[in-house]
Amino acid sequence: MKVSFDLQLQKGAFSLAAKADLPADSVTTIVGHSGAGKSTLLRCLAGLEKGARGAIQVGEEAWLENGRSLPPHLRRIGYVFQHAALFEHLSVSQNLRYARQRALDSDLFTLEEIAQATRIQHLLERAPATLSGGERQRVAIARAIASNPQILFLDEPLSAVDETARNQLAHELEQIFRSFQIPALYVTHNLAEAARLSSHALRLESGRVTANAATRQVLAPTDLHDGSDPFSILEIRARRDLAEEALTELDTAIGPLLVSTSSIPRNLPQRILVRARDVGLSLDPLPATSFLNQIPASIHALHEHSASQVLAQLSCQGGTLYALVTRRSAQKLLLAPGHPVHALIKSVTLQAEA
Amino acid sequence: MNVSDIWIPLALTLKLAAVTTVLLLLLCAPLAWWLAHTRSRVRPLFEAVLSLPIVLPPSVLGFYLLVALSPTGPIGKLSEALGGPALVFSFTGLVIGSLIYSLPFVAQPLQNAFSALPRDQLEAASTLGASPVDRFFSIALPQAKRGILSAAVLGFAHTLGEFGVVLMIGGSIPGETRTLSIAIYESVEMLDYGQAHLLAGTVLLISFLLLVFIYTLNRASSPFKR
Repeated sequence: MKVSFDLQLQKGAFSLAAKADLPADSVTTIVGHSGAGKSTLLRCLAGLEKGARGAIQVGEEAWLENGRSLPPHLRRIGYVFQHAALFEHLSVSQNLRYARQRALDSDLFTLEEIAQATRIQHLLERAPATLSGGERQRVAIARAIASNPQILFLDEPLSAVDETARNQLAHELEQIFRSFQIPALYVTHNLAEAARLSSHALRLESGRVTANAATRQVLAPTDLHDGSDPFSILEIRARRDLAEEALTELDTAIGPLLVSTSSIPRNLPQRILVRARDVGLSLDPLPATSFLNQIPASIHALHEHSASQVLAQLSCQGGTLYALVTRRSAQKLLLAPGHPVHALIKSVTLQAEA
Repeated sequence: MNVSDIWIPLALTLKLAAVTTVLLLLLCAPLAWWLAHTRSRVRPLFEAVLSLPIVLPPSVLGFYLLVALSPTGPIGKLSEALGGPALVFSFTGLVIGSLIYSLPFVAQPLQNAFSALPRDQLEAASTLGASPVDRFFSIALPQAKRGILSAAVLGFAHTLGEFGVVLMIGGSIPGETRTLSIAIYESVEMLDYGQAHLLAGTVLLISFLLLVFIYTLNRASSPFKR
């Protein structure tokens, strides 16, 4: 489903002027710093900002056109708010039924299927006020899906959840997106979250769209310039478990990677992150080393990173890997574009900031 | 002393308070909703006008009402043109007076209740397919229930104690405009203290019970909070 918009909104000192065409087949993340207008853009798309001007086209439907705005209750969206916004006077199951009773399309999934996928079956008779942050968000997601949406809008759904629950919930979200196959727009300031969950990304800066491409490109560390911890995103194609060693071999774009089985979820994630500072370089293959993963690569480019460090962009088979090395090492190894090297990968992760 | 001496003014007062409260809830709900959600610049003006009955002496209110409702006043003329009843010294006139007199006591709790409604829940309802009217009945009313009850009880209790306005525009026609507070006044004037005690005690008791009800309501937590 295609989503196109060309939106303007003036809100106090902030002005939004965002224009983009999104494929919106699966999950699209909207990334950017706080105050960039990510949530405002999502609210405009949902019809929750009265002052929005311009045009919105979703699939065959015009939601905003020539000053005529389709009211939110006719837009067939599922919106997950940052703080869940559960109906406090209703129980969890009544919240789900509230959505189901007003759903416009025919049922995509039964409420039981939704409750099971979001793991809230045991919470159905509870009151929202008695739920934890993570539980509230799971109910909010279930409720949004229960309204049979054409598209899901999620506004930083993990930001109100505490640290330990967040990683778990991110993983569940990935599974939910995969099993329900509903296109989604997902607002987040967490780049690792965006890298994990989405294939397409949109970057907003001060209310303007500054990037709209595959997540791998939008989040490429050479393109970020925001001082965040650089990382590579690797799509995972398959896994092979080496049970006796408790290791798992992941088939990725840069070749096979060995990781300890306990470090990755049982349900295979679609993508995995490798922090640039967890990658070392060697000119020759090291015959005697504790590094499990030595990947032959060639240097594609070297980028300035900080006073002491350079970011090496490596081509490994078909994939791209980033390594953060000190300036001194780069000089000692005479690193230059085109040179063959071996990338030594210390670990892979699912989170970038740690 | 006759039972009907108490019962007739009591029944009239209760009827006046009930009619006034029901009408005020219906009139004030949309008004309070608008005041709670508008960003219009004329809002303070509206709020000031709505609060006037709190600060104005009842005799001032009653005087203007008397002028407006009299057969030569604007509202009186309108009623006559439409074939309506005479408004001064009638039950209908009392209801109109009470509506104005008790307006702020219903409008303000309603406005507070509607302002306190969580905006994100109303927005969530709209994204789930609830139309504005649907949202009002499915989210706003149940969550503002206590505020609405407070408004009703306050409006009722305040109308119960009305005196000055009734005196100015109602007179003292038994069964028509002779409310409890007028009856008390007249009993005292005639030095019938026994009767005055009974009537005043009745008002005191009813008012007290209503207030106990309100404060219990405000303390009781919602069934969904631990």
